[in-house]
Amino acid sequence: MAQSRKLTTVQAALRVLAYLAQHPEGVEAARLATFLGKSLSTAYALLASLVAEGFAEREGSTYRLSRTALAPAPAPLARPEKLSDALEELYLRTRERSYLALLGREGELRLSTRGRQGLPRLVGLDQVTEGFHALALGKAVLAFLEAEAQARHFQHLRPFTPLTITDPLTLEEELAKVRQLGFAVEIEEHAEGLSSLAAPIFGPEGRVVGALGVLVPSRRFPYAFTRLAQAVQEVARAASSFPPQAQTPKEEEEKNAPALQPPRTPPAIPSYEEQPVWAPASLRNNANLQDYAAEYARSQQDPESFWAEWARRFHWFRPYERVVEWNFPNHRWFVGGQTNITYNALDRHAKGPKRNQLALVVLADDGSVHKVSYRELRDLVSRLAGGLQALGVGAGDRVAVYMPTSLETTLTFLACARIGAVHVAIPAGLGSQALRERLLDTQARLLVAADRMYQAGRTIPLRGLVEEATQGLTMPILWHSRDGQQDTLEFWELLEAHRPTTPALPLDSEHPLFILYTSGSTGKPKGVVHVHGGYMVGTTYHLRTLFDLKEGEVSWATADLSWIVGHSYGLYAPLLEGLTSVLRAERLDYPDAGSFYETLEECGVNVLITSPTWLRTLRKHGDDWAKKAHLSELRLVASVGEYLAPEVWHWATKHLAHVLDHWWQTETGGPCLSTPLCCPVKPGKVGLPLPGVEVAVVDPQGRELPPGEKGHLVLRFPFPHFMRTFWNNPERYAEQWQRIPGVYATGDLAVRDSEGYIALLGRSDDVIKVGELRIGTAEIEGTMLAHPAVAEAAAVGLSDPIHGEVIKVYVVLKTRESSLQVREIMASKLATYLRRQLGSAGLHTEVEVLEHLPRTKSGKILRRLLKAQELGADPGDLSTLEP
Amino acid sequence: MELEQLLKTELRYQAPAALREAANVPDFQAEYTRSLQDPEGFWGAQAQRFHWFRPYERVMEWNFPDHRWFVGGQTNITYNALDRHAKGPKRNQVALLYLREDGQEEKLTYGELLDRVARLATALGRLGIAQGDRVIIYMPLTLEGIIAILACARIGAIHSVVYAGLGVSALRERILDAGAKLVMAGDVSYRRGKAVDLEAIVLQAIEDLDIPTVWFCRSKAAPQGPRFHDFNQLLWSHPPKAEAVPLDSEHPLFILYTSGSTGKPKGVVHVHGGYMVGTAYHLRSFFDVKDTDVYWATSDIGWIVGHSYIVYAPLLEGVTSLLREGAPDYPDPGAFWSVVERYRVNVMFTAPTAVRMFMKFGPEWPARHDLSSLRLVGVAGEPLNPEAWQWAVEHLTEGGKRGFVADNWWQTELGGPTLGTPITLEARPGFAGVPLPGVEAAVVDAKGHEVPPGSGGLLVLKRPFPHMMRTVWGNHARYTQYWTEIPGWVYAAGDVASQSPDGYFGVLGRADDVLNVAGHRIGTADVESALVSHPAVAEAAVIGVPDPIKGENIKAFVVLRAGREKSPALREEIIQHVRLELGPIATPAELVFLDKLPKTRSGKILRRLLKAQELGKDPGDLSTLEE
Repeated sequence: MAQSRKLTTVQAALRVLAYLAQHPEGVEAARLATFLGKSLSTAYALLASLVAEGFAEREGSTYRLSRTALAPAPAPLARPEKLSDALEELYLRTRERSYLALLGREGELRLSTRGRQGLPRLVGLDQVTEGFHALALGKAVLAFLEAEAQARHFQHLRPFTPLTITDPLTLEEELAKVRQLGFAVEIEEHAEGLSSLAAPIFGPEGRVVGALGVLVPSRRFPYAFTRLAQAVQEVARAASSFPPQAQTPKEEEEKNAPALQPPRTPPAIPSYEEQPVWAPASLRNNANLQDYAAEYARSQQDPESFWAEWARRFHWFRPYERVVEWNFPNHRWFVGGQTNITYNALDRHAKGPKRNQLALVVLADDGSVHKVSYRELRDLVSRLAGGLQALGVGAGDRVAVYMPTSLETTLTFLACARIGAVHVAIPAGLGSQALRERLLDTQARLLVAADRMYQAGRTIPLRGLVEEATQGLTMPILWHSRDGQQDTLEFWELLEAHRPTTPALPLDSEHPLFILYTSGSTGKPKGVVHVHGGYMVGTTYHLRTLFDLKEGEVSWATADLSWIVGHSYGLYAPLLEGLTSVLRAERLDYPDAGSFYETLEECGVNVLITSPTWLRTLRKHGDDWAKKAHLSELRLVASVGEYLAPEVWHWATKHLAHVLDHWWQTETGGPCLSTPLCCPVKPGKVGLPLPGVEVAVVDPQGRELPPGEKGHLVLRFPFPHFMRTFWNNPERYAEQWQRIPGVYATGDLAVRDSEGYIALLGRSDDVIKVGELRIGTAEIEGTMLAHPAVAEAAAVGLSDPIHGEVIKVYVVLKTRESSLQVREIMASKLATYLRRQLGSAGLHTEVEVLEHLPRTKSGKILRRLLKAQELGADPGDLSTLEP
Repeated sequence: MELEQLLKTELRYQAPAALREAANVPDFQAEYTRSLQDPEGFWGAQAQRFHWFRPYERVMEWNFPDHRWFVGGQTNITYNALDRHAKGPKRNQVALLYLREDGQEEKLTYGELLDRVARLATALGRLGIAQGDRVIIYMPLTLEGIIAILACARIGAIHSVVYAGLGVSALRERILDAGAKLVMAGDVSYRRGKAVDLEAIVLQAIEDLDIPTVWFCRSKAAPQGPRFHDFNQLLWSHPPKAEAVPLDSEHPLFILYTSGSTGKPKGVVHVHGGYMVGTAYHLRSFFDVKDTDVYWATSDIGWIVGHSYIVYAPLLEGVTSLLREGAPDYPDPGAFWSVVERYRVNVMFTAPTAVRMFMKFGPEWPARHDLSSLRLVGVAGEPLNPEAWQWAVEHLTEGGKRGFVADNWWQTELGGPTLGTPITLEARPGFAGVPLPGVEAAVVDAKGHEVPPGSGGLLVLKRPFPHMMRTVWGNHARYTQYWTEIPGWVYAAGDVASQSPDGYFGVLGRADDVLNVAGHRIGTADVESALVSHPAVAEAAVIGVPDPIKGENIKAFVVLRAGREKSPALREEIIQHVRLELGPIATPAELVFLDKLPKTRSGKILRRLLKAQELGKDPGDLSTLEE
């Protein structure tokens, strides 16, 4: 029975072929069905098989005989039954989607596959005639084709993904590597999220006849690599009639050595250039700032009334006489006025309708949660302020604060400010020498210290450190102890011993509020001084207009309270504006990345202010966490502290919320450059100068550079929340205004485009000079981060006797647990990739894969340390290094 | 308190002028008159403050004895209590400020509370709980208990909170009577630093019932099995998607069981629309709560005061509601006052039994704390004797110079304050006060004739108001009985009262066999049936004897079955048996073994005689006593 059916099918197929041969103009399925006397579906099935076998071709709805079907075979093909066994073998060994690619007569690849449901597959590819170069299968074949046969494929180099190699020279290099390794690797070059490995199959004459390969999701690739590489090579070798000849002819080596090639610029890849992106309409339409251009112009034309208008929302015990006094390089704001930042941040709200609204939600390092209303916060602060006064602390005295992010820290800052004392936050965990240096520099009247902190399940003792730092110093220490040890001066005892009756002291607008030492990635730490009046007015302006916070919203600045972001946007600005601020001490991914999303969800965070470092880390943790979370409240993510690569911008915008990149410094108190919601975003470029900020990109002599040229980023004028001086070091402050004549040198390199968008290129001391080329580390790192396998990158320049400097990039892969071999392969792939992306094939680039990068506590990569290790030099002050 | 003595009391007292002037309702008389002359206009205006998914067509429909309010309208009490605030400037205001028994505080803002409630509501939906289904909540006073309550209301399920302290048979009876589809339970409650097991009670009560349970565990692990769910796991594994379902104004909101003199406890039914409008009105007008106040009702979510004035009314009005688990005198007798100082409580609502307890501890405890924030102390639950009133005025409100003590009277059936002394009127110790807006009250004899001022009689209400109960669950006839017991188309409150010539009502106690122990209504029948369910007990009778703190205490008389020996051990065993069956509040303080009980010839137990003997009074007519 079965026998006879088979016969009829074959007979029917033959009849169809004969019929097609008679009708070169093409035949429709319906006509064939009539001719055969069979159903339409049978006709379709027959035609489909004939097409699949290469006997027929389909064009629209008509079928005709294949032009090659009846032509004599020029070369014996490899025995297909043996090869399909090999495909099966490969699948059974790897259990991954396996492919067999056979080189057709016309130079096309015919793919057959084996896999099971759930495995990824290449979509829409039955037969590939162009774009071999993007597939590992293709490269495995291409690498062993004769130059002539290769050449036609080189004419069809086109991008499938941003990672596709489309430059013939780079491709040559890549193919040389395939010959050397004996297999080809493809990392998202053909399809995003998919990677693949393939090895060539050789025919009887030693000619390449096809390739066998496996396709896996990129996230699994590094883990599976060793196993797959072995399987693919072994199975392909067994399927070959002859083992591949060792092909290392000398001339080929030379041909592929990039240094000997004339320098050439690779073609641009226009389809992947960053396009401007608008914030979602819902955000844009409701943005607090609707017309950036008008607002900016107003701030420039009449800065006095611009800032005065904003200052009106605050209480002034005595009104100011003048808005600004500018005696280069010194500036004063709200001159003659009296206020107190804590009156505006606490009392104003505690007396009004916000009395029972939460001011702070503090997620402490010991796991406890403190939710504090404005009324409660005012009372706690007032009580502690009384306690500080009882210890003899008065207006103008410096109080050093050495505690982790905690309720106690916020209370200390605010209590100091309430009585006019100047708080000096020193990040908890900073070494005893650095702590001592700061205590001495400020002549602190009191040190408020924690005896310990908890992080990632560990207890980090601080008591010893503090005792060492204060040896021989006479200042009292107010302890927040959690080790059960009773100190003479205990934080909560002091607070509880006082009634909430200490009022906010009226202070001159220019009275110092705090000193904050810059993280010191360069040189000796400098104590930046901010004051009550201007800082209050300026930081809140940007909270509303840039961070776009509305009444009743929750913001979360993930930075440690001891950093400027913590000061301005974890504490002061949200309280001044009567919002609710979330503070969290624990590492954001402890015990796992889900913990971060839990905080967002549980606290109903609307606006997140975080760092690119964290966004990169999140991206590395993968999409699944983000997909599981319910982030309906989150509408804006602000990123500050480092360069934000476009990939990270896109990832975070997709998985969290619209991302606002912005740039500022401890010295500037608040944001200076960003892309307000009403303007289109150019990912990778931080954006435009914000209202009140006048910037320029200049050469070392202070001459403004035309768009597109890299230069120094400078500020032309101060604004209310700009630092007043460096503590004990006004000369250093003045110097910052003189380094480039007449302007404030930010120390950063930038480039401005024709629309005024600014991209930061890194610190001016982070510039690598390779020959004539000057490249910012940020630029290099951004490029590296665009590669899907890369989680983090740090670039340094290493001096080289011939080339001046060479670029060395340290990368952390998204998948940490990868074998040495994978790392090597990745490193070489990434070096190639970088050269190509930077557009200088002649550059000397080296890539090393690390487990993690050394960072400062504020999350900045310590490139200095990397460089020192490389050169065997002394890395200098590492007090801010994260343990 | 003897009636004559009461009427002779000349004590008068007014709130400080500043408070009277700032009162939310400055002219009480005008307000009251309007509420009776034009109830529809009056309550209609109050209803306008809330969101209605569909506007009502008529304010009220009164078909004796049934009344309906805001007819044809659609609303959801949780939309008005949560969404309205969480979507506005009050999103981050503290809605609930919870003090755990160990002194730790937990807060939920309106935004957070809505989030948690919507998550749990989503989860309840996934568990198959739908509109109209009954859910028993047997949880201690916790944020989670309130989240459970609100989550039910959000999806139109009817919650029935059973005070976590009632015993096995009381719980089981309520589960069965309500026809509950789900039980949400706590594993323990905490009192005086100790965990009190609730889990065993629940497991025993549902032993042979096929009903799923949700466990809020603080001490133990949740029981394992397909019918058991963990509260937090359930909540956090669901998104905050569930919206407030638009419900008919008359859709039942909750069933709350209360004791009667006979038979089973009655499931009092309150509804979304009227209850919302009425309870919120009194929070503003009677308790005089302002927008930024911290408001503290010291009750428990297991009682009507907890429903109306810990949960619903404060949330509806967008204020901060404080709740505290544990005993009022733990860890020390100043515990309450340190809370008032620390959280700057503005308005407090407590019970006479608590005031009497503080009296016993002495004035030095409140004196140690800064109570300057406290403006008004509402007191209800049982008659507030003048001595307790005097003490509260003296020591909690600086002798009346700073605040006001507002006595008030109401019942589970009435949803909110019914008689009371508003802040703008004179307080008269011993008198609960005057009928509040919307209330028309009278004192009548058994035939329904009004008695002259100064004489004792039965307290009746002549018309319903929006927040008055709609029916007795599964027993509408029992509801009708409230309105037909006394002739004259009136609601019989079951209390004995008298009226002064100037319209103040004094409530003297229950007219029936219901005890009032520390403000909790306990039916003698309940206790007696729990007693006789012990195998050694043949017959039992229960009376209330006066207690200086609790108002009344339970005294039980027991006749043992033949062959059982009286012994202290057996006495203790029987008392423990009642505790397990009904919970600690209904446990007899005293138990006496008798050889026989005094009975009428028709066989009824003469409690009157037992009580008279106990108190050394004239037992009255004993003609029907069986010899």
